[in-house]
Amino acid sequence: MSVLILSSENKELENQIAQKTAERLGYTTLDQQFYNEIAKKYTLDSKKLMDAMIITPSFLKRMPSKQWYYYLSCVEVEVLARLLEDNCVCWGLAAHLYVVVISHVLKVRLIGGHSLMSPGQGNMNEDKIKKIIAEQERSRENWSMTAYNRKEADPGLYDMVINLDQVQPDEAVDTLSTTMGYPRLKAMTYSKNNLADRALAARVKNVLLKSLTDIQVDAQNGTVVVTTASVKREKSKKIDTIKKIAAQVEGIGYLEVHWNKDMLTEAAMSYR
Amino acid sequence: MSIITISRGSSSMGKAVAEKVAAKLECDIFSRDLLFKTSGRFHVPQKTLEKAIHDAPGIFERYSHTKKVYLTYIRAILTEMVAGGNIVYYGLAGHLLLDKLPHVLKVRITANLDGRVKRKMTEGFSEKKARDMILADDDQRKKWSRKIYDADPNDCSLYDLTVCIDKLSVENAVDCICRCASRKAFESTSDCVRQSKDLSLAWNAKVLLVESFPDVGITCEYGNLLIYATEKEAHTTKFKKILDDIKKENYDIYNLEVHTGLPVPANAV
Repeated sequence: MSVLILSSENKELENQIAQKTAERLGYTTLDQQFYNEIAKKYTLDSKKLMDAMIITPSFLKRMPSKQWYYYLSCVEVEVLARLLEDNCVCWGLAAHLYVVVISHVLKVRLIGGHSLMSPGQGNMNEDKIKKIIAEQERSRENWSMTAYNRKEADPGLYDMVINLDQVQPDEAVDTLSTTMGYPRLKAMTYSKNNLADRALAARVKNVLLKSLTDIQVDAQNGTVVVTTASVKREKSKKIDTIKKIAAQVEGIGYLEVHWNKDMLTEAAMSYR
Repeated sequence: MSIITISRGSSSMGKAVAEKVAAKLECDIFSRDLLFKTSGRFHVPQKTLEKAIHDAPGIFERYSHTKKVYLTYIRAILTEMVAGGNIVYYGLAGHLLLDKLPHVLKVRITANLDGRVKRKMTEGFSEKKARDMILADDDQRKKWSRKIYDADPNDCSLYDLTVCIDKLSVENAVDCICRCASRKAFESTSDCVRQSKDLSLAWNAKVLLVESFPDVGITCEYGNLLIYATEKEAHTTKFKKILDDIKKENYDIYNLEVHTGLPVPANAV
């Protein structure tokens, strides 16, 4: 009863290894096809939703910041809800960035293995491949920093990193299947509650992001803490709005709103 | 017949993992013995060698090549020690010192900072002191790797397997490493043994040259030693004398050639 989250720059190998591991373990799979389901549920444009998982907010790319954060939040809510069901292999949904410190979730990064790419890509010379990979890594790092303030390639994010330059994909599948069997990765009440708390926080954030910005949500044992910032004169209005909107979400034991002064706006207003 | 290097930050349980891996695979294990052996053979104090392999070069050291000389000594001994296979090395910079041997399984053990601080505190340090010591050590390792090898020790592409000890237990990590070591890519074939021996020969030849000719490059294949030097270097009496010494000291050298005016190949030591 555990969850495996994979992340890799090499999508082809990631897909192959994830599918085989899921097959070997008899787990369900959760991959990028899930975007269509999410888009349907939230009545979003599925192409735009997929774009939001690749690009950073930009006026020129017709992806305003508010919309971008909302799209990301929709994905987070749905993925976390599915991960609560356990026995799942998840990849391609950036789950490694928002599922943190859950003991029954194993997060694995697959690196290298570019010599194992499909024939079409294999025709490229080594320098060109390296250049493309470096460019992809830069763009992913930019995305993950903007979205979750975490570097995707940071080894601290993962429980295991496998370098596919020497290890063959089938051997990686073996390693992952064996690792998932370790008793330490069994789902316990505590770790399940942790994941449920994360899912609750994501749901609250999602409803708030429909109309508000600058929101951070945390949850522990059903107690939800929303942190926000605004100018002083809007303090009570904003807190009331948050409480009203968050009350729609099921499963909240107690709601707390922490307010911080928005110094920049305050200073700009006082100057006027 | 595995060769495994285990790299880790201080207080990351790397030693415990290395000992258990060595016990499970019935391998020899060493860490500081490398410096002990190097010190004994080249008559350099162990402390100086430790400084060379641990601390980043200071302002003045950047313009001299003393660190390069000591590192050559260390690498010559290390390649000799691993040439026979069945070794677990958990000392400093194993993944970088043995980077030219593809069949070496390079493992990194990571741990979160809070856990490392707690483990350090069990040695009798206060929390602040323990944290400061760990951060200073990490910083020194980072600087050393950057200055000497232009690499970041946290860069996972330097390793074949990186395991976080907080999520997996020591036993789980040991099991993972042992399974990985049994994979085909890390099997010590006769070709791998030959490669190790060639590398050892190249480093031992470099030991004799490095003090006077630090920029000379050496490759070795099937006992054929190729030395890449500049025209000017190759025509000095000292260079010729050292070449005679290399031939005398290394009986395994099949053939020795000096190439001048050619660029040093990437696989040269």
